[in-house]
Amino acid sequence: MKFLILLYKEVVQFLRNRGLLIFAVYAFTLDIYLAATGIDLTLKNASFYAQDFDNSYTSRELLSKFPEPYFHFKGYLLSDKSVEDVLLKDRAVGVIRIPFNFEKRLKKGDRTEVAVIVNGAEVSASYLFSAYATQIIYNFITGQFFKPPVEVVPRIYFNQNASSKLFMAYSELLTVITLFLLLLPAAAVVLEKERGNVEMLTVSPLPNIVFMVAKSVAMGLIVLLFTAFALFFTVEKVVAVPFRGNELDFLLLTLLYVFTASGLSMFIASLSENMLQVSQLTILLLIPILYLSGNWTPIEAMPKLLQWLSVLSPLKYYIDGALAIAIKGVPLKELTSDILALTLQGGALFALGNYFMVRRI
Amino acid sequence: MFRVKRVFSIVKKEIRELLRDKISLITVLAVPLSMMLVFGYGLKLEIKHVPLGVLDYDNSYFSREILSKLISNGEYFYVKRYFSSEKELDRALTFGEVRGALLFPFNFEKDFKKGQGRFQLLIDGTFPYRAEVIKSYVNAVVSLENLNLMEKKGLKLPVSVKPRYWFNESLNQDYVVAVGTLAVVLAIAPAVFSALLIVKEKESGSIYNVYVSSIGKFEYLLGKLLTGFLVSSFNLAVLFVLLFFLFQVPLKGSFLLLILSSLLFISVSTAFGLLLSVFFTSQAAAFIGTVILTVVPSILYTGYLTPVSSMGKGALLTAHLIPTFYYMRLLKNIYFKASPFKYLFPDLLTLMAFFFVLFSLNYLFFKKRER
Repeated sequence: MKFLILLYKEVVQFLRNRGLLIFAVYAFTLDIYLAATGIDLTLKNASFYAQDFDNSYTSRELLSKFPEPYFHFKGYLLSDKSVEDVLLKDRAVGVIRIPFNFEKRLKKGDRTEVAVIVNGAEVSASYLFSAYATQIIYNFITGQFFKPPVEVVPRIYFNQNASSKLFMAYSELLTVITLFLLLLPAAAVVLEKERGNVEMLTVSPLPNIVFMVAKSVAMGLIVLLFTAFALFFTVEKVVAVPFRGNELDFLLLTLLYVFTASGLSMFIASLSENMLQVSQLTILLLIPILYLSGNWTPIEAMPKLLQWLSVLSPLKYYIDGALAIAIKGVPLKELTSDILALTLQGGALFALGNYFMVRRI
Repeated sequence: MFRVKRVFSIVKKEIRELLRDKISLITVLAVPLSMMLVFGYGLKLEIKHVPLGVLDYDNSYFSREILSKLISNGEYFYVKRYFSSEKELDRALTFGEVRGALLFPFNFEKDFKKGQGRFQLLIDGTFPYRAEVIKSYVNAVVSLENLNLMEKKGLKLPVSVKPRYWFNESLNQDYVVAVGTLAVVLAIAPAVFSALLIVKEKESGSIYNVYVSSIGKFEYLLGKLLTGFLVSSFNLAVLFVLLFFLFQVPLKGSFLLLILSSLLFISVSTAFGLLLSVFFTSQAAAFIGTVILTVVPSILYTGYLTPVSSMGKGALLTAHLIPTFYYMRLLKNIYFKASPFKYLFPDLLTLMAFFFVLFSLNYLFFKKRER
């Protein structure tokens, strides 16, 4: 009963903090929407110009082979000066330069060269642009002479058009969940410290541990509710990407993660005396957790040391499991290794975090 | 009456408070540093050591030849496991044991001898960018192999394609990522620090001392702004040391302009954090608001990871409302392109305008009495 009253107090306190509520709603709706529709590392709509000195049937034919929505043809350039200009002003990712007498030389079998000039100050696009453009030009020219003896037929599983929306929607949702789980319980505890309420608590008949657990559980519940809302509304309706698995599985996995992350939050709370410390420690923990999860850099591409350390990031197991449920439609009961890792980590962190917290009061 | 002395007493108080609070001091210095190190160093967009599965129904000389061509480089792919059935292969792809798979059908070699051999490349599409890169690697290897095979038959392609990278000749993406990360870090860290500067006094109640003291609004806000600015300038110096000595990004443009635009941008992001501090009455709200409002927009709308020229009209319009967009452009222009000053001038001016607007809003909304 006491526990329930405490739980109720925390939830009400959260709901009355209008600023926090506004940002929570924003984070679980608009923020996810923006990230899902905005961040696309694959080549989309890559603007390019052509510097076509040949201006022949073949050269125009070649330029027509750059397909939308990967490429976006912006027009022709005449001088080298204007090539420099569009690249300096970031108006294009690249320029295709076709030399004089391209068609004639091609027909005679004389050597000629097509240049792909790429804006190297871009990150993902510059590599993919030059790779695709080179491929397209080779395929076009090869097609004029012979049928390629070997052909590869690529098929992308789970996400046929390699749409970034699907991945980004879930990835941003998981990031937002982590941010709120790290911050909310710690903030709730440290606020009491700052106000001097903690002294009252230590003399109250309530054991300290009950008080701490109530805070984690209340904040975990709130985040879980927001997650459900974001899943059913933002992700499935607004961003409108398919969800292949079972929603309940997803939420159960989130519940496990709630324990892990709020355990970490209690560590933050036990170290901090004021909100400045909480805020900075939250970021300090969030960054390695995000990075080591393999969300941005594939774990197999990391340096060896970091690959070993990635075992420590709880987000790694959560992302693994959550994406498997959402994108691949794997049922929860088949994700035993992720569940096991999360349970072990969650149990240990939650117990230790709360223990430290109580010790520090 | 404006008194410089009052401004400095605020700065002095804040700095002293920070120096006495060891954990805060350490973390405030560590946050930008760790962000820069983790993302500047760790954000590798090149895809390496992709674990592949192989299902070779043909099991012929030629299928093994193609496979060896794909993994001969050793850097991009390695064979994690050979499979004997498609069901097993599907399972391995589903559970992430392999990220891609090659499937050579029966008669692959025979078909090749007849004219064209086809094989399948199956890729886990969970991470779309990785899937695209894997596809492009395999395509490139196959194209090369085709050219080699034709050459053996005496057919030589008369055209060569030459990719050339401007501004960053060796296409060292680490440089671009490191410089971009600087912009993102400077959008987040100063704002987060200053977001608590005023609201903490509201929550603890010490703001009443300010309400009843003789200090003016302008002096108070300027003092807080200067505090944020000073702390972040120190961090900026550390970040520059990292960029120059650890990441060793070559600077093509003017060092003076680099410093100037960075200091200007710190002021903008400090003023932004301060504004949230003026608005909200809870530190938790001010903090989480700052994080959410700075992180995603400054990654999304600035050309950090995706090119500005690929943005749609709406996104481009939004981008112009975000100061990081201008700073990112300035940084890339100065670092990689050594652009002439006339290209930089408008962006510098815009950042200045942002600063004045944000600070004016601070002044407008901060009330020296309880609301």
